[in-house]
Amino acid sequence: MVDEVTPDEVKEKLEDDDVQVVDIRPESEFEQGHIPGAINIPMSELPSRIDEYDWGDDVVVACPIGQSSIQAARLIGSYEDAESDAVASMEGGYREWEYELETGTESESDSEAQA
Amino acid sequence: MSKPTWDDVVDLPDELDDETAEQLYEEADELQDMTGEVCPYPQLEAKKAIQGLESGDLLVQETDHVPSTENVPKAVEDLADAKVWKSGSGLYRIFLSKK
Repeated sequence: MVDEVTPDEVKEKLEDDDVQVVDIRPESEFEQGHIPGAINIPMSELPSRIDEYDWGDDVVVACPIGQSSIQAARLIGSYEDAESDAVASMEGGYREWEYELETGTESESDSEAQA
Repeated sequence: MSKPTWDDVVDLPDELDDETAEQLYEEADELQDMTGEVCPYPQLEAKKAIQGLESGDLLVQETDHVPSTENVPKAVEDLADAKVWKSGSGLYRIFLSKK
């Protein structure tokens, strides 16, 4: 069972600076606005790119409405190099996100997270 | 190190055999081609179409996105019963029968 965290909880985690947010929306949507520090792995690319990242112990997956992110969290959690209970889904997705967004392709954690 | 696939983690509805799926596909009241589409568009379109159908009518959605075969049925589970057919070569048909 995948844990779900609320947007408020994700905001708090961002302030503690130890969470890795994975945005599985298409690149064009990511560029228009994403959770600060998020990395973008479009859902269709996730299975083939899952080994490109060092999955830390606090990963939150974000999508438009909080449904596909549950499946993506299951997928990441099932990967040998990740811990299933370290991967959560953001409840309600971007539709429920009320905080600031970052635009553009690069976010500082994008380069750090790369394996 | 082997990589997981969507089939490993997606919760599919009951599967139809080829013959039954082919026959139902011919009798469908509405068809939607959702190949290339990702959440939330297929869910929204399924809900809209089903609301316009009669009880017992059949909507079939075609997709190449495995996660949709779980998300779409879940999105309309109050309105329709779902089955799925796999082509075996990456095409899926979701059969949604209005309650």
